[in-house]
Amino acid sequence: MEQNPPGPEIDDPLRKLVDQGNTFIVRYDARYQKSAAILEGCGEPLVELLIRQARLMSIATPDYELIKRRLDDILSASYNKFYAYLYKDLPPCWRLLYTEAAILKFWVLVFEWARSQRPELIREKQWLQMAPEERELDHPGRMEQVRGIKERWKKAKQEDRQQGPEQQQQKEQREEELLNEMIKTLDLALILAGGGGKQDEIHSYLALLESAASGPSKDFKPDVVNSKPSESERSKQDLSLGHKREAPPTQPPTKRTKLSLPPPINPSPPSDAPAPLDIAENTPIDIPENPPINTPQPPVWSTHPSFSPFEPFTPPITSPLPRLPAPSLTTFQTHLSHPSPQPLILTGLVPHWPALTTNPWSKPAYLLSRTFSGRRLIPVEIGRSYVDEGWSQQILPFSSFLTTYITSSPPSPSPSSSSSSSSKGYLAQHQLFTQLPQLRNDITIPDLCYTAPPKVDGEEEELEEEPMLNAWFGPPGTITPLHTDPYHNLLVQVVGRKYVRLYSPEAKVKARGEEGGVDMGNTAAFDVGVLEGWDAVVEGEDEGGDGNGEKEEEEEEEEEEKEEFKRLEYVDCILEPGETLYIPVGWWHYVRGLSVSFSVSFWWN
Amino acid sequence: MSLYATGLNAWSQLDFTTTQKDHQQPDDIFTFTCVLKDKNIDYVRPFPSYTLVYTTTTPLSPTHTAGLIPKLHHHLSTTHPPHYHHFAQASNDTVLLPNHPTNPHPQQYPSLTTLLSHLQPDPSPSFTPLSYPSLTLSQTSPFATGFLALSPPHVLSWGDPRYPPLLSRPITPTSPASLPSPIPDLSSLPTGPIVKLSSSPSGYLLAALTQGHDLYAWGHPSRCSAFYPSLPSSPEPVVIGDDDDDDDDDGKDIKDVAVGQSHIIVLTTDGQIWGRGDNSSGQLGLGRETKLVTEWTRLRGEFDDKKIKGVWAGERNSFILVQP
Repeated sequence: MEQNPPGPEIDDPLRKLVDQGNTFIVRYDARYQKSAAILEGCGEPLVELLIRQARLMSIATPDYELIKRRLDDILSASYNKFYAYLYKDLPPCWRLLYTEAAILKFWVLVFEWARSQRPELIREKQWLQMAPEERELDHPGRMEQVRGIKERWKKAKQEDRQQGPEQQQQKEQREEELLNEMIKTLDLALILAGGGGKQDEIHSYLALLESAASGPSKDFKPDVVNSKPSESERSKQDLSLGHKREAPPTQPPTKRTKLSLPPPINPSPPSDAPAPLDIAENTPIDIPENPPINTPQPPVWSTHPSFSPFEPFTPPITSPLPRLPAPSLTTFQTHLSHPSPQPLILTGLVPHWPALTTNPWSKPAYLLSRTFSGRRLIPVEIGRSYVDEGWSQQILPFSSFLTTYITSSPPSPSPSSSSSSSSKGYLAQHQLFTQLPQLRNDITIPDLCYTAPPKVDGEEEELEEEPMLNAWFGPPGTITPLHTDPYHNLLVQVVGRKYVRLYSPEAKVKARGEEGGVDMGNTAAFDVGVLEGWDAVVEGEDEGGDGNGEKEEEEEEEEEEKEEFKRLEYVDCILEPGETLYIPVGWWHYVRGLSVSFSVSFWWN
Repeated sequence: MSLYATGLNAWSQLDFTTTQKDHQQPDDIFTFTCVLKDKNIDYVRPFPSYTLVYTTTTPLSPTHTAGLIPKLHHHLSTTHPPHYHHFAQASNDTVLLPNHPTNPHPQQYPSLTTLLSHLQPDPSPSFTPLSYPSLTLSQTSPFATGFLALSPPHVLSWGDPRYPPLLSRPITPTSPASLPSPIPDLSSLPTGPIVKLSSSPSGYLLAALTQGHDLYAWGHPSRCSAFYPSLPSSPEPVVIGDDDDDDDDDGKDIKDVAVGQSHIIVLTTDGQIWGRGDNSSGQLGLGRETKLVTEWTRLRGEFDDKKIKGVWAGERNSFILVQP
């Protein structure tokens, strides 16, 4: 079946992608057999519908529109189950079904995308699939169909030739939409369905797609593909992008740029510029074409602007935590071995992290280069705090998150005028590094996570061998309300500064109860920022009692509780970039981003 | 009688005629189309992958079937026809067996599989279904995470406590979310008691109809915002169209209602069909181009000016029964 035109091994990622898709479809039955036992739980109708789509994709002239609609039907049916069940009760078959349907949809989009760029790739595929089809099916309309296909090819070829600049623009726009849809389809499977056990496979497709999207697949010149332009060359290229990019003599200009790279912000402000980056919606950000991967050439990112260090509000430190320079494993183990270990700031624990040095997370351009030019999707919490009314979650492209919530966030003149706070976006408690393994390589798990911390009965949840990593990335003023976690925590500050206040497990912090069927007992009833006057009182928070007399009484009681809470002892700190905060299990902590801030937490036990 | 249908047809569940299936797959139907004619049709039971059509004379065996019947459904229908005829299942798998002639008390099972194994000659003694001996349910309607039921004069709700608007009642230690309890907003209504409930087994939109033809709708706003913006989170009367005969603006009188996963259709007492919500599968019969309508919209078709007996909705399709 391998009838690709003979030739030397050329770097043609798009062809590679299409070939892999063909193989996937041809071998789908064997793949399905491996998952059949699990998928059975979804019932025969949905499983039949899934296999039917794979089968129909293997015929010469699939009706991709209908196949996509059917795959969407399957996605919607399984997505519905994610909400209908409690997370822990969701039968695993639904995550797998979602993922399988998403992967099939991805291939449909790949074929559509490839057909738009290089129709010959799909024509080859069709011919390959037609021959056995003709043998097998004694369909009277078969020859008619074959003739129809040939007609369409001819027409398509003519259209290719007749394309004016306007059609070309439409075609490119459509290709960009398809590209975004491909990424969205796979990212949703990763975020919503946890990858259904197919995470590695999905990551490999995304990597292949990224090289097909950015690789000059039509140049067929391995020397051009692999050589990285020098700094000056690259900026020259980028500058020329605003105009028509000059095409190599062998290629028609219309077939040159697939991933239209935006021009750089010019001139580059110094990296310690005090004002927030002025990156408005639609203003493109410089995305280096070939970011260095694990390379010892740090200067590449140095010319790119960093996030603004601007802090609209800095709370006072009233009971500072001690700082300890990078303790050895033994020293730290000794600290943990106390009956009740205290929280503590560790300095110089992670100076070697690429995220702090060669692969700077402080630079939007670097983060964009690691997120498929900002196209990858991330889940974002919208609202001030997860206990507030109107708080919600959205899944949006990384680049939109940057422009909407990070780089364009207007500095609030005073802390209490948090009118804009309702539109804060926070990438919080997300296992970003399993979704984007390319960022995972920029950090390492601190050795200290391999110590044996004391156990607290009933408080802890067993973790796997490895610590659990979460990313916390947001604009100034993001808040994680006072809460406890069932794990020991090393919170590493990578970009910007965060204020953290901690109360010991012995402190009588009043917890919330059950709310809407969810146990909120790990979250405090009072908002540190509101009580301290840093944030305005949130509407809809104080619900009060039913009767008026009762209400007054309750209010009085609440006032008393507030006063009591204010008298509780605590420790606090401002965590600087490169510093690590150790939070012992069971300690209440309130975390507030002061500037644009990116931290990583390591939960272990 | 003529049955008109539109919407999702992935398993040919709208196709009562063809037995020979094309090697390509069936498309959805995007405008109300007559899919079945018969002397007697009384009601329709749409399941996600198949449709049953019944006459009242033979209540335990459907007169017409279309689509793909899951094995578990088939099993229940052959071993325990009365149970099959009455069971309701929510998207979270929970199965409700209301009281019926051979089942004196409503019972609840975590899934169809547990129901089937409990019905075996020698069921596992370790499992007992939830039983509600004090309840007589005259109507049940499953939604994604629980059930609505009519136990005159009350409308009861129960299910997952994470979705308080679907329950629309106080949740207290004595009336926890998981046990049937009355919805106060649906008692002593100005136009009489609730006579009909409607919801989709995979949906978060709920509706109820009073004896005096008022429609109430509510649901989980954020789960419905895409197709029903500003849906109230507790039962509120719905105003559809203009009331022709007097000046008050309480809209048309509603005779029947059918709720799908993301759409809703109603039959007015003057014989019109109105609907709103998702049309991406053609479930409102508004053609291929219209993906969504967020306002109440008159749905037109061949059935106009004919005597319409009732409406039904599957997850992503709709049915209209027209009398000759």
